[in-house]
Amino acid sequence: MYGTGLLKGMAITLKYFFSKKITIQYPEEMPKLPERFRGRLYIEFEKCIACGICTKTCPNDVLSLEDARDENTKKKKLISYTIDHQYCMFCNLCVENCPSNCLHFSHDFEMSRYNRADIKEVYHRPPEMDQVPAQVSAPDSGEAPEPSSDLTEDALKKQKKMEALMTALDKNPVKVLSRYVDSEDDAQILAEIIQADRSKAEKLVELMADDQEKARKVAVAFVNKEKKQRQRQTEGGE
Amino acid sequence: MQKIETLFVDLSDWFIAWLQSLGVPLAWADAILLLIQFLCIVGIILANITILIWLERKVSGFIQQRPGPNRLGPHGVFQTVADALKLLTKEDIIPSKTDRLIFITAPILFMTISVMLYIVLPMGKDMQVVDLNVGLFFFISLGSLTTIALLMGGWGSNNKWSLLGAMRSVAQMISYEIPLALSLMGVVMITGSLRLSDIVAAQDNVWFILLQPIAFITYFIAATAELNRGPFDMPEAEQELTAGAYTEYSGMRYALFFLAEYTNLVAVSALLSTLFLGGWQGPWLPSWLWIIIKTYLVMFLFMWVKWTFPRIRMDHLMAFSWKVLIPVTLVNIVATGFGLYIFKGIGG
Repeated sequence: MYGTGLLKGMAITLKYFFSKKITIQYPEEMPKLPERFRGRLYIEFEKCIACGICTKTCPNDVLSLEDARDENTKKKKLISYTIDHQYCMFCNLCVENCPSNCLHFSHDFEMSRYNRADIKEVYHRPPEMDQVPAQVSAPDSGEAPEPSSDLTEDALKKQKKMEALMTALDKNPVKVLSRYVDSEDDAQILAEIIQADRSKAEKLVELMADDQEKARKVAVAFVNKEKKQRQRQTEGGE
Repeated sequence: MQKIETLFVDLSDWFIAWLQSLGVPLAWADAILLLIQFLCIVGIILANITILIWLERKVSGFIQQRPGPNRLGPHGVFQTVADALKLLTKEDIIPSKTDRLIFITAPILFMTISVMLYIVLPMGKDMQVVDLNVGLFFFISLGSLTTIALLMGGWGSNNKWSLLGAMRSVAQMISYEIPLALSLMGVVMITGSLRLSDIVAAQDNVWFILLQPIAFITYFIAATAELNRGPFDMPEAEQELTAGAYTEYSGMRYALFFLAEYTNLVAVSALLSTLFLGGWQGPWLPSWLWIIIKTYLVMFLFMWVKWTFPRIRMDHLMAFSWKVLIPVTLVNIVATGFGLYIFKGIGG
């Protein structure tokens, strides 16, 4: 019969009219990125063995590194590592070829900067790495040293970053935390945990400033623990 | 309740009485009231258009699973205001080779005609600027005048594309004028009057959409084409053409055409609810609120149709008018005549 197709079409658009909108309001709401999304390249400095394969494999000469021999062990050690993001085409060759799995793509895609020099990222050897043999008793490599008088530039930077993160956390915890967990709800839960326990917040911020991936893992662990606890509570209540 | 119902009528009565108490003769007082009524209509039109353009964008967004404008004000309600300000501040460009007089008068004429449509619309109980005994005829004939304004715009632009766009509009609008007028004949036959207040009064018991469902559908289709709205928006298909007859227009002149089209949309929707949906009649709420509700429902229907269906091809458009709509409306008139004859025969 004539016209049934028209009615069908109108039914579909009416269904869409009342359905949930799929637009992501980007600056306020972060898009949910796929797991293997190739965002900003970063290096886990401690894991790098300074073999230089990444610099050789990079087709665009994005990567460069500076190395030196350790006086005691005669091993190669990394002094500084430079990623010039403006030439990176996210081809994944360096990540694939890294023998110690220290190069990764993060989910950070907001890479625009006001000038060209800011795009280049230079990692310097953190001073505590050279003190490792002296303090074998400290198992947590991620722990930052106490702020002392001989603070290097890097440590100072990290201190500043941590402070900035802490204030951001106080201001809008959900927004900051949603980058580290899977969903807004989880971020909400995490925010509550952090507000309840200040030490946890400090620990998390330190990780955030230091190692995004680790921070993410810890955040997810926090949330899962809390969720389980809540579930237990509700079950017990019933 | 009664106070709210007759609020506007009371206001105008009170105003006339006040002017007379100041020693103004009745004829003059009426003239002043007419001026105020005109200003009210312009106010209604502008307010409605502001809402309508925002609504159109919201509806189109929602239908495409987007949120629509949502930055300026809550849910983006001030988006139209910002757009209007932007258009007002634009440079007034008149291309050098245009026929200046025609180019300038075309949008003004278009808008004037659109505003004139509102004179006969009953906007509530006893709320009509002029209750013409040929109200419906007045509405249809004025509606067809907009064709001239469009053609003037196309001709005055002195641009072949504008002229072609205008000709397409004219061809389409004239073709659809016929089913438009014919589909209303059934209503007129039942009522026996062209006066809009009579038509509303005749729907006291049953709305004409139930007595004349085919006329409602054909009028709706013809009105969509007459308004140059999708799926019949060939003359100015935004995605495919450069605005048709409006190609050379910019800034506020372009906005005037745009406003006039939305003004027509409101007028036609109001007429549709007057003729087929019982006009201002309805329970509980005051009459002027009923006509607003019905008009907005009809406008939503127009938008819903526009954002659902793909654009129809030009030859199909013409064939549909001449080969489908006109025969159907003619048959409807004959059937209505028979129905009336039999009904009167039974009734005595």
